[in-house]
Amino acid sequence: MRKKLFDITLTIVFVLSIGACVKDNEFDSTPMGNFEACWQLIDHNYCSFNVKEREYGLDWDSIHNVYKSQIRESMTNRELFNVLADMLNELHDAHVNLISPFQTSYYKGFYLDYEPNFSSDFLSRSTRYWASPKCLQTGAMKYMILEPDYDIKDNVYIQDSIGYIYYGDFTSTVSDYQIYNIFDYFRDCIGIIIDVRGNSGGDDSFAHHLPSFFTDSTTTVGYMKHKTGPGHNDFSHAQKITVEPFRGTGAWLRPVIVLTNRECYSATNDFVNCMRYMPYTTIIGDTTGGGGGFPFTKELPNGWELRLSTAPSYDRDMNPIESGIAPDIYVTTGILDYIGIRQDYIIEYARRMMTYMHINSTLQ
Amino acid sequence: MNKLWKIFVGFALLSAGPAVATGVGEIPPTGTQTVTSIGAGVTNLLDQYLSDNSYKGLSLNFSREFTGAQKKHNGLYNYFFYSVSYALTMDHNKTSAMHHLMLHFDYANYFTCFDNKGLTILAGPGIFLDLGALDKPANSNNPFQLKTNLEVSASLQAGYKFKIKNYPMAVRYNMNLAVLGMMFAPDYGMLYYKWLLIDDKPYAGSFAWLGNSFAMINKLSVDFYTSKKVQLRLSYMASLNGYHKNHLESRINTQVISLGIILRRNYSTVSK
Repeated sequence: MRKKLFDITLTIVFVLSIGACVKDNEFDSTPMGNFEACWQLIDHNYCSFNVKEREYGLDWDSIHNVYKSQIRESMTNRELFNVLADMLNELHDAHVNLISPFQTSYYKGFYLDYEPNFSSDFLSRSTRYWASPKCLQTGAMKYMILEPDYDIKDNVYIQDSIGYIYYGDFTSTVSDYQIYNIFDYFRDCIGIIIDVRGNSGGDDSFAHHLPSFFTDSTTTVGYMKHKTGPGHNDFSHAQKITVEPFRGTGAWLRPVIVLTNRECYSATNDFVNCMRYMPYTTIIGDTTGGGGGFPFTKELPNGWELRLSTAPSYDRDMNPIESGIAPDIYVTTGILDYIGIRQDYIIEYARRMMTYMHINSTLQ
Repeated sequence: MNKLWKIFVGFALLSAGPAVATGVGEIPPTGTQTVTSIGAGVTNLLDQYLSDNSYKGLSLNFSREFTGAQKKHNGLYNYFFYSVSYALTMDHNKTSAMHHLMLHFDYANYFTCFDNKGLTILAGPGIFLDLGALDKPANSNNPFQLKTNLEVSASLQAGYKFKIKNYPMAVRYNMNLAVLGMMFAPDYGMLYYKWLLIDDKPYAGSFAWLGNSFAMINKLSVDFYTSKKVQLRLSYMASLNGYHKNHLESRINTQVISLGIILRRNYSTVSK
């Protein structure tokens, strides 16, 4: 009887142990296994193939053949990383990153291929702008009142005070109370210039919250989808995104100009998309860098993280915002503006525009 | 959806109906038995929402099991079990960590299927609830995965009393298998973070049955009789939890060896 009991116990433990086994990744942790896993993870999860095919004829299947021929079983980790990073950069998407213990890949073409239209070095050294003692800072926001002044380049006298905010990093959020205090400081200004040039993103929920200070009605600003399967066209239905008006005190219902350049990416791209639907708002500068797909993290068999876009965003007319948002008024500046005139042409253009808008609204 | 809840509640009420049962091992027919255990073991997991790699690591477990005869002395037994487990797991490259925290609850009513010569087999319907989460800090926008299922279960308990050199012992096997209910299963590329932004929040609840989800707890234990009131229990527990839904696979398997203290009380003692 004791022997029988022992046998039964052993059988139960054995059966339970088999059930407790967990199968590993279907690819081996070899250079070829990691290559195939990387290609397949993108193939099954990336959300903007259609946009890229339309824009520059991306063919992900042919990319597989091109880069597979570069994989050798004897290659080092750094060599493998470089091949995979080059393959991922074919997507032209800075939300697609390969993260290894020694390097992170990052696509920079969204701003390097264009005019910078912004120099933080110039602004931070210029006593006309950020180096002025009148330029204050709370949290990540620099702000100042641009006093009545003479515009050298266009020979115009700007007679009104205009608020100026520079917000360069959406990873550093600002509280409602801080925003209220800035707006209170600008209470005699005819409008605000919000400069987000060089801001490559961060907290997307704050990028959707900040515009709520600039509207008095609920506004639809866009839609989102997410992947529902591994097929290139497996998407959920479009889900609406709205901006609710700010419930507390301190909403700004006067003219706003948002300054953009090609470095406005990800959360900043979303912020600009929200702001263009707010009343009294004008976007001035260059097209934003894009980055409309929400990133998701996956993992290769060798443990390297693969970050990729899986949830595409659209504007309220269902156009993808993956490749950026065009400004209402395209204004560009070269490096000569900084050296010769000692003024940031895009800021000065926005000041003039704000004054004209104010005059027009007064005349009406 | 409403219909599903009605079926679920109806089944739960039926499971509380009268039945005849006798004690397992040394469970007093007119009292309660509570077992409090702590244990350690190994967790193996794969969650394709977070990673395609499997993770493995040390698991710690605290559990409490209650088996009680009804005060009406009708021989009916209620069974209640809960456990808290935490596991810190690593992938095979040892480059990335994943945390697993799980609260598990079981409630069951037992019918006697067999009771003869020291072997007792009880079975009955129950309720199976898992509330837990996986956390992979290295992931940027998808670091969490909720692991939740609430299901009607089939529960089985078998006990066998025997003696080794006049020393009384009991072996038990306990199994709870989730059969039908609801589980949390996010869509293939759905981000929790995204829920903050969109107006119509996506529904991630899903119908669970044995075809798409498998949740089961197996316990094999040996009771050592040290005194009339306090005994020790050495247990092996295997917890299997997984689903295949929305093109994603998830499996969490934990095996734990635990040591517990058995406290038995007779209702006549309790009432004093």
